[in-house]
Amino acid sequence: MLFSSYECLLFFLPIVWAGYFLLGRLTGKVVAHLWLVAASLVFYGWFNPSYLWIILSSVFVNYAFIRAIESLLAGSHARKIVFTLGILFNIGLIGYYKYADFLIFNCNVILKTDFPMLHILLPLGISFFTFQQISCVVDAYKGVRLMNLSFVNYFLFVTFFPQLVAGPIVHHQEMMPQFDKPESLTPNWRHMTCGLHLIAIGLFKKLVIADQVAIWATRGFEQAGLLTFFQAWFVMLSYMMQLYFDFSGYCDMALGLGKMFNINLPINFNSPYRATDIRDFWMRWHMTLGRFMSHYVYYPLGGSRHGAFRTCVNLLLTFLVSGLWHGASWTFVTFGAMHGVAMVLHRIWKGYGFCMHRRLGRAMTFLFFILSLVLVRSNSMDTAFKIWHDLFNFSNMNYHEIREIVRPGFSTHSAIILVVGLVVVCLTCKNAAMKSVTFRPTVAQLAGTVLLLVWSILTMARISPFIYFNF
Amino acid sequence: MPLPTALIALHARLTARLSAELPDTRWFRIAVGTACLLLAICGLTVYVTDPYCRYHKTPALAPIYRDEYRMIPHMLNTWDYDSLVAGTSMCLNFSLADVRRLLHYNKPIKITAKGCRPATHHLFCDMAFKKREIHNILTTIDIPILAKEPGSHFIPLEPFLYSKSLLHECAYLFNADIVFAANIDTIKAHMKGSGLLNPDLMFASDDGRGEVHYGKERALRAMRNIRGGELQWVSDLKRQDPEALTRRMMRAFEECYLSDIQAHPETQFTVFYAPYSYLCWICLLQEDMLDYLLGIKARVTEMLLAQPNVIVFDFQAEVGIATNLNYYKDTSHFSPEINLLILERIAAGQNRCGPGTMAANAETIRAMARQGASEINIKTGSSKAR
Repeated sequence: MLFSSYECLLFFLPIVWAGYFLLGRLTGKVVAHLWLVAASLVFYGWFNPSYLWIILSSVFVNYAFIRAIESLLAGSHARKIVFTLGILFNIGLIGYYKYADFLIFNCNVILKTDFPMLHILLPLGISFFTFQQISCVVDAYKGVRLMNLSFVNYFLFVTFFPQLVAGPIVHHQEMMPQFDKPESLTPNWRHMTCGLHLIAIGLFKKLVIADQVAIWATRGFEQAGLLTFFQAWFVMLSYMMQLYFDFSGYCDMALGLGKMFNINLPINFNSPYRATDIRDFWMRWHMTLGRFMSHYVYYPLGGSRHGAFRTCVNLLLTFLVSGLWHGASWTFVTFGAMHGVAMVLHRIWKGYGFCMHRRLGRAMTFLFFILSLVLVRSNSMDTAFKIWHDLFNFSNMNYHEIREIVRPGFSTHSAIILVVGLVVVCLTCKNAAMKSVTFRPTVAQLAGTVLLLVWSILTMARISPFIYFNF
Repeated sequence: MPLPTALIALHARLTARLSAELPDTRWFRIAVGTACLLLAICGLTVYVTDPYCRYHKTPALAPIYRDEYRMIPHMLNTWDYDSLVAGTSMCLNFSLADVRRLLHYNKPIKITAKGCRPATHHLFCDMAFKKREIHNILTTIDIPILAKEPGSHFIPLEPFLYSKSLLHECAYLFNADIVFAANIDTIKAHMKGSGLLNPDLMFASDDGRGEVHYGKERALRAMRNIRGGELQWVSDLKRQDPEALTRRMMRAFEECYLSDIQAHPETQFTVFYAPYSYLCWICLLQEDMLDYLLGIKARVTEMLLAQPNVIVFDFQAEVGIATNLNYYKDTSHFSPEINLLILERIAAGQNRCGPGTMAANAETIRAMARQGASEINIKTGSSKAR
């Protein structure tokens, strides 16, 4: 089920919300949490019921591993074996569903073999719920106390529908205590108002903004290699805006839905296009993925504790894993490598004590990200090279050619104004998640919320899936 | 109070009013209530104006009959009809008044659509047969369109327009494209007095107001422009394995046309082959696909003629029409007067196919194409006689 669908907003959400608080009042926490788990499974199974057994088996097996690790003596051989098996299970699960065909394809190319491709349909959100559970297994092994780890709590932690299919990647330490708070079973009207406000903003970002610029990005990439200079830059700016408004819109909705159930999900975006360097960028973009990569990849590799060279290698490896997490193709691996190299260069630069003017740094980070995004949108390296070529093709500098991308519906100028306006909004306005911290239920907020909500619902019939469902 | 002071005071009052805080429960209730109210108003507006006739045969605002892929599924539910005019853009310009007058169909309705592929034709006919008793169907079969991907449609069919469920009703009633765009277009059409408000001309690509131009120059220009586009299908067909292609085309014919004919012996089917211009035949000849497609046409016709409830008419060998480019706006689309001529000929029983006519017609088409190829440079659209 999509957040931005009639079934979710008009039926699923009111029923689940009312049921949760009613059961919470009448029967208590466990039944209310079971209700939320059941609702989350319906939400997940709505896309494809056959995915359900994957998430169910993942939850059951991981919970068994965590309990087994906790029951074994710290430092014992058995504990290490169980931990290794737990990690292998999770990597095996995600590897089979997400990377099997990628491995087979490369094996066939390199070894000249002819293994048939499996053409496995990627279960939604597998990267998200697998990573969350890896963090639990690792923390259990490290002896970090997993608070309130009843099976129902754990089940809810993994499947809680606002964050299930596209994040944010939540950590048990920030979720489990919230589930256990007695006041979470009573409706909090400040949370409700703030949640509704965030949902309205998220819906608008996704349905009205991202879906519009997505049309232009798609048209542009279909003509890769044939775009003029201005067309190519227009297409890439459109894609950059699509990606941001799509994913941050989703996260705003997730935050809003979480708030309605008295659960605060972590912020995932903090105005990333305002970043002044690449390190700053990754502290603002998909922050929960960055946190996971730091805690469970970069630090275990040694972090910055073993000298400058090892630090650079660790950074590069972490970003390669991050690239591969985004998708099973060489374009994503290259995307990760590009960012890894940029992080290494930034570290060396800082190591020498150099600094850059903030605005220049911001412009360079923006430019670097837009160039690297070519890899995220391209379905092959060939397409990516074509787009890069178009971005620096100075042979045709007529900006009126943009009309071929934007018509019908928009003139060249109105489309440029819209995209540039969106860039300005990203660079100057306060983001929704931050606004929610200072949210006050004023008349102006009320009018804005109603307007965005109704406008979004009226454009809902043109539904397109969220980009991050693919990751 | 002077005006600037009054404005400043007004601004201050407005700002104070907008930044006034409400109790949370009140804020939430007003927000949800107002959103529901606005949605209800939109839904009610769509229900009353109903631009695609989903709920009413005659909505409050007479609809503009233009968006066939969105209107047909609904009209088949809400309208009263007993006969159909079906097929591709070749049938769009028939006037239902002419159909009633010349063919004596009682209550005809058009289920024609631009680029109507076999699956779409079958879908529309199936919906009609399930809803009403159909006495007559007038349809064209465009042989090349049988080669399209099985089950595909010219445009993606929006699910909410093709089925009825609670969620699909929401998608129709709470839809900005309908609340605003479709209704505004309808109002504009009323203000302009568009010919497409006339149900007899529903979905016509030319409503007879002289807004569509036909003529030799335009047809030749269209041919030059579309050689890489519309006629791309000819080269696409060439690239395919002929045997597999033949199987696919015949299966499309059997599943999407013949199956309806055989399933409804009580219905009289009048099938005709539309008169494309000879530019089309020249292109096919030059791509070495003419004989292949004429072969498929012969097989299709043979199977049609074997059905007791089918009569077939062929206008493709009409040299007088096909070679007069003044009737055309491109290589195949002709003016409404040809549609009228087709109806008159069908009514008079002319151009009717029998077992012996197809070979002769095919030979006429080949001769026409050869003659045309010697006169016209297909790449430049210019006359070779210069």
